Amino acid sequence: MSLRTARIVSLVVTVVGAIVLLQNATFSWLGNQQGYEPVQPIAFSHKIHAGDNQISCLYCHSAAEKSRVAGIPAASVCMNCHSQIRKDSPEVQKIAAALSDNKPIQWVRVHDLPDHVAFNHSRHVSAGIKCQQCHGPVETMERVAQFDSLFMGTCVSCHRTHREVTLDKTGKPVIAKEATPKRLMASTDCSVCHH
Amino acid sequence: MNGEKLWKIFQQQDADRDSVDLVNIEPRAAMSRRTFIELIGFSAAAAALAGCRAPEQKIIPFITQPMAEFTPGVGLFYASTCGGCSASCGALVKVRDGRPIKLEGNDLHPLTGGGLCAVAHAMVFELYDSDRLRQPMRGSQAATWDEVDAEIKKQLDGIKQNGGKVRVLTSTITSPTTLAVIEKFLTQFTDGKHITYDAVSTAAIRKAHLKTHGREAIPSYKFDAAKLIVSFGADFLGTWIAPVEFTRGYSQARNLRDGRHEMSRHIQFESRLTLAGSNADRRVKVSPAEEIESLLLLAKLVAAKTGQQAPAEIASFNPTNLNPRLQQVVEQTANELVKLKGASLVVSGANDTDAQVVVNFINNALGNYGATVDLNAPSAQKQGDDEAMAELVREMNAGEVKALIISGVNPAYDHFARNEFTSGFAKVPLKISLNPTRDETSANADFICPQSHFLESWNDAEPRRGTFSLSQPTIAPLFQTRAYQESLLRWSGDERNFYNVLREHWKENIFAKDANFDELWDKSLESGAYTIERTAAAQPAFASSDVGNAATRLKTRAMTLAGKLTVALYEKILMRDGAHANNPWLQELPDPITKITWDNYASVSPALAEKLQLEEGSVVRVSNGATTIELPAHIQTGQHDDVIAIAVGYGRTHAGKAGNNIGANAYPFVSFDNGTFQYLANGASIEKTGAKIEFASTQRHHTLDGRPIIKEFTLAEFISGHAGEGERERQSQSIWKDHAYGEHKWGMVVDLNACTGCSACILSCQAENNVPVVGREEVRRQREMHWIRLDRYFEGDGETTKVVYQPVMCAQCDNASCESVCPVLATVHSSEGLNMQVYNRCVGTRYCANNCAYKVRRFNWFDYPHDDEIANLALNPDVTVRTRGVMEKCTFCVQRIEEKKILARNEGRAIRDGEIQTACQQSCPAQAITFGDLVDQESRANHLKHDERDYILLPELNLRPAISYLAKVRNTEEA
Amino acid sequence: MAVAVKHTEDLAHEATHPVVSPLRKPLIEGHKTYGDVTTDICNLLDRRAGAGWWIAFSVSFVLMVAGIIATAHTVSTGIGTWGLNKTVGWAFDITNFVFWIGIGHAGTFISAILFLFNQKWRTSVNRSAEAMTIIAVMCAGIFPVIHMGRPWLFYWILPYPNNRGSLWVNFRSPLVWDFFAISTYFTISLVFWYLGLVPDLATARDRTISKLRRGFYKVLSLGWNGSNRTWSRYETVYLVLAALATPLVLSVHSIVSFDFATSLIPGWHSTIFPPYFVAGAVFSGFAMVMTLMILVRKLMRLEDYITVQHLENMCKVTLLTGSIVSLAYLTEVFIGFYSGNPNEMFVIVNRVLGPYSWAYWTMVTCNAIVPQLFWFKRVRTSVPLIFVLSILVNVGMWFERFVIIVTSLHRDFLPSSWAMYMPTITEITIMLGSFGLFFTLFLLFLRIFPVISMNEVKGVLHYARR
Repeated sequence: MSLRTARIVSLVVTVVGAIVLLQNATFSWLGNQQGYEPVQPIAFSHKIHAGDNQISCLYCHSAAEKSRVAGIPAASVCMNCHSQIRKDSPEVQKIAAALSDNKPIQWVRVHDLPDHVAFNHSRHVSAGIKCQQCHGPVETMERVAQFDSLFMGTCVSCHRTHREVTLDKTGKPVIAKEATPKRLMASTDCSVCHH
Repeated sequence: MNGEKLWKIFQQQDADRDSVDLVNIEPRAAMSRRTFIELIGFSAAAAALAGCRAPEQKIIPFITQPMAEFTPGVGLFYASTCGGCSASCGALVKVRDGRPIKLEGNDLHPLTGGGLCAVAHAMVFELYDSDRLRQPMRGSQAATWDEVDAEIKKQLDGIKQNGGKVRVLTSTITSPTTLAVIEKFLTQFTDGKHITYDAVSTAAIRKAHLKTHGREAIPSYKFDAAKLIVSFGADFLGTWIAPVEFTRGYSQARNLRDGRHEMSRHIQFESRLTLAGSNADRRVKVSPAEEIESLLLLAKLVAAKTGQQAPAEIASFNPTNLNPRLQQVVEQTANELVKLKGASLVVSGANDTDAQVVVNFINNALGNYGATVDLNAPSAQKQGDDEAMAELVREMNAGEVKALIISGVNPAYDHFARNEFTSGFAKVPLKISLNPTRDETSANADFICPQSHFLESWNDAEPRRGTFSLSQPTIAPLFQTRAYQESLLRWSGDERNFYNVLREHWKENIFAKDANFDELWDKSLESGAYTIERTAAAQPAFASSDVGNAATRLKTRAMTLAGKLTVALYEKILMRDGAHANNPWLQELPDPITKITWDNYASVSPALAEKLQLEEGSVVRVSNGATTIELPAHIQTGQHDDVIAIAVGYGRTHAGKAGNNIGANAYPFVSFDNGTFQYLANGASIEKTGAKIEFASTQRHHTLDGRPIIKEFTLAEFISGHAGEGERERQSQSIWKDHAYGEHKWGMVVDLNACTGCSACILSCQAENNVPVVGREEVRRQREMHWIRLDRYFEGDGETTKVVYQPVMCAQCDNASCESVCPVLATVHSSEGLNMQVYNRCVGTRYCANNCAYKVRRFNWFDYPHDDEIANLALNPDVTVRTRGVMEKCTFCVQRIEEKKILARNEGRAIRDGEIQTACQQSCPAQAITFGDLVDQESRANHLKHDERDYILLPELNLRPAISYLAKVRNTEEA
Repeated sequence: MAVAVKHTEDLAHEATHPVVSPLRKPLIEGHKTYGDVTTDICNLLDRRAGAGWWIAFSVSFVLMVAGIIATAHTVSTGIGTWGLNKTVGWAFDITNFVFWIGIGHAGTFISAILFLFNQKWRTSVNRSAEAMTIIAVMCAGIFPVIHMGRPWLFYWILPYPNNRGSLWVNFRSPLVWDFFAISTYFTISLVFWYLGLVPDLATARDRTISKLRRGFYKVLSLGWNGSNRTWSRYETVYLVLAALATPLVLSVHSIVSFDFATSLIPGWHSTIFPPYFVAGAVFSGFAMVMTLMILVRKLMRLEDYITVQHLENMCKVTLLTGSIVSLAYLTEVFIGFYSGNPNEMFVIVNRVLGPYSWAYWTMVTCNAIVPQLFWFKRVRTSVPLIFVLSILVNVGMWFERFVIIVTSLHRDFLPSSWAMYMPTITEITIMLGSFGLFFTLFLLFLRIFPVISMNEVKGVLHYARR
């Protein structure tokens, strides 16, 4: 080919290549757990419970208000209802079995942040953030899948744009009264999550 | 030797760590609710090791929802009592997901307040010691409880019928209920006796008081009430009777914060450099002989000056070994004491009844009984009865003892005549050990019925008459172990569990009959302590009848000691009597004076070293004829030339993988004389073997070389306002903008005048922050990982050695030199003034550590061992376990800060001052560390930052550290 | 020079080729014609390697392999395999890094600066000097990576878009500056060197007998046809690149020196570091060039091209830069005391009399005293002496970096943290390995590329001749 075409080709390659390469996406395919949907020991359907039957998330995941972890309900909690309802369902019987022969159910973890990330559920719940914001429309999921990539970028972009809120006496989220406007934002200090 | 191997070989532990088998954790305890949470926590720990991408994580919830206050992921504190030694300090146990992960001081405890010692902090690691026995043993075979119970009962019944001596040999037990249980057990037999044995004994104090006051008891010493403390070799800040309680009182009496301008004065006569001595305002270096004569001379002078009539032996005493200078010092001391009649305190560390008798005489002459020494509230700590022990050994060898049950003692290791003991022990037909491990003594027992750890069991304590505390289980027993009280109950045909016994005993004997038991019980359980108000009674009368003979014997003793080389045995504040030797945290904790870890050694004075051409670490052979041991020599300034100081508690052979064959056993130097164990072995000889080892020492340079690192003033200077001189925190002209702090700015103040160097902070930090143990070899390579270190500097010549301690941890500088050099932003400044360290971002260039002026950063040179599945349960889930190649350091316990911040915000309130306590601050017995928010003008820390003694380290670098120090003050002028 | 003593070889040579200029001596001896030059150099490529080459190569190759093994051990086990500790966080690693970067400098200096100053004598040495530069920078580049605790994450020091929200690098950190400085330097040097090669590669392409080589040179010579147009373009670009490369000679080592100068450690925190480091770099660089050139002219029998005169000139440069370095040493000591800063004073005293004084005095002897011998023409013109001295200079310069790094770190502000440093076998092996790598690559260069820039040599062939 002539020198001219060579020039043009090389130019195009460079520009396009640069554009393709310098995307966050290019660097984020590795270790992306988005859409992870493992099979669980018991075919528990969030759709039926949280969706159709409108059971509040916090009824089962009660720790989410008080702790860094949301917690998985004890088998006994399931039986609060299932001692009456659908006793005959094979899945429910698995729970009953677990209770009777004193063997814990080993759920497979879906949302698994690295161990150097200290995410605290209680802070976010009491700040009035909906579970769905990170966990997606769980109430529509037959089997829970990871909705968000849960990359650090997700956390940070939210913290950069959201205001630090606390609950007032009535439990209503209000913006915290803090010194400078800058501090009104949720903190982006590394040590908030990494320690 | 495998003791070292464990820590030395790092390559080994890479073996598939992420495949920790959740199902086969040995052993499978009954599926209690706690076990399940353990499992959860366990998988967390496993994941922490495996790194970010563990293939598939399991979540294992409870089967039945536990009690209401329990929330996974939230730490709960249970009030309890430390079982580390007989001091029985009040403790809070932090339980996270059903796993006790940390001990903290219980500020509601009347004696120890929020304080704890280093040993207490290490107890958590002992709970998860995988060398503990996991089930009862018949000889060396594993057995079940039913089997051993059946057999033991059968044999005991035999003894019941045929009669014969049954002996229960325990270490000091401060638990009234347990004593009752033992009593009950022994009543079954015609000749049953309970013998209390302390390897390191203070029996002389009790015997002396029996002679002088008719009460065989250790009085309570009020160091907070004493304006002048004169100690003859008693290391009351380090190891003597109840160091935490004493340290607390001592530092209260010497507290110069908040505008106080008076402090107690402390004079120490001692032959080796003790922790107490290193804090003394006036430290008098004396030989053991001189120590005795000084004591006698002091008695004489005090008696003369107080007009107390003294026996002729004292009144006519003339020192033969005291040079004029020393005589003058004693004279001055006497004058000071007399000036402060009734507000002074004289103590002696000697386990020599005669010396203690004379001490009682002096205290009595000074009218200290009732003021600083109280016999009406005697201590129940250190009740060891040396005579009874000697008698037991005799009985055993005579074959009279039919059954011996030991608990918490290990005479086959720490009895001075251990061969005599073991030979006698072998003659006992029924030998039952209740010790938790297969130690030197248990190894020869017929049955080992391992007792549960104190964190797994119910108990109570009465460290001082009228002051009770409870300890409650914080986890179901990890192994097939049983509280030793329950074992004794079973064998006395009592099927109740100890909890009920405990409650009943308290109902019957401790609480007032009319009280509402459950309410009171719950209250005591919650606060951890219960006190019976006593009506002030007169102290028992003093009888001087024995003082004369005591003085005579002391004189001859001084004669025999004079000019001879003497082996002085002592306890290290970290290893104590050696019971906890298998605890790597304690092994790696540097001794505050020598800064040496993982060893004991023969300390010699520089002059003696000169004479024998010894260098640091050259191995010597120390002998007193009967006993000979080889140890590396350590050259210790401030020690008397006539003394070779050797720490007991080392040279264990059956301690476990961490504690075996570390150092040499010095107990054989102990002798039994005049009814008590003597820890001075005179007529010793020392010779060089030619071998030489390198100590695993954490500090290699011991002087300040004139650098203004420590600020120190005399009390006079302080009162006259000189402490304020020199630079305050300077407002330098910086071309950069200062950080704008909004909500918080965390800061810390360390009071060098309060810090005694007890080193509790180091282990508290280690437990809180998952700081790894690196082992002897790595410490030798100067790679210890402790986040907070205790710098120790010697000043002055060998005669008047002054010691200063300075805790140094990351100062969270505003102009941090580490932050600017990190290429990847792994260490950055937080909006709250913290110098954050982001482990997962660090690539490990070590540039930050090089550029840190305080050298507080620690680097993970290897992947440190985290392959002990049981030990991993001690990890704090709130703190990342750092991987190889990552820099780490103190961040003011940022996990605690975040925890409280979130709590406060969830509750929609501001953080209260003092609500956040760093690990080091929390359990400092001297309350030397204050942490707080500097934005809050009212905060305690802010208040102290404006103290006139406040100064910062290396101000010339303008690093603007968030930590400042309060200058040390010595009360040098005579009262 | 005219009055300079005539050497026997001069006399011998004048007998056959009368020299016109009474003042100048010819740069290339043996009265070469253009043809001779081409044949001499190109034949080197086709000729089998001599025993000397093979011995040298096998030795350096073995060293390199040893180094690779030691590095693998470090990366798989941890930095703990080195002798570093809580107080001394850098030692051999960064010492070697700075050392190799320094070596690199001579090449660019010769090819760029001497070119701009129209120093004709550079032509015989610039090719291999530049090759040396590139190889040295490669050796240097290894150390910042493997000295990391987690070298597999080294790319975190480059700013690239990421999903951390985004998290960038710390542009305040000299280590980041290093990365940019060195990569730039490496690129420019490589391009510069390669561009200079193109005409000669064409010549080699046209002459070589082996097919393989011809194909190789064909690709590399980018279809060079030697037309005037090509030549004029070439000259222009070469000049421009020379101009571009020149500031880098100064910038790179200045920035490397910032690693220390911007810190607060006494003994590092010093304003004279940039010039001091640059001078030291050129100093050590030239020493290394001399060592190599002496080997090359022996191994490849190039005495006619790389003459004593060349070596003598380089000796003069070494003498100059060596004296600058000595001045820097004196300044350090003076400032140490003049500052009145106790920490600064202590560092000086500790260096001169402390536990590492042996290293300090090795440094002073080799860098300050040894080069002064080059004042004597006898020394400057005796090849064996130059060889020995040049090696001594490099030993000295290695120790200079060691002294700066270790003696400053091991005793800084708080006596409680003072520590000693001793290297481990692993570290020493890695250092030797870097030398192995260096010589392996250089020896390969000798076999694959025209060692002497034919086209430039031809340009100065008639210097001082009829």
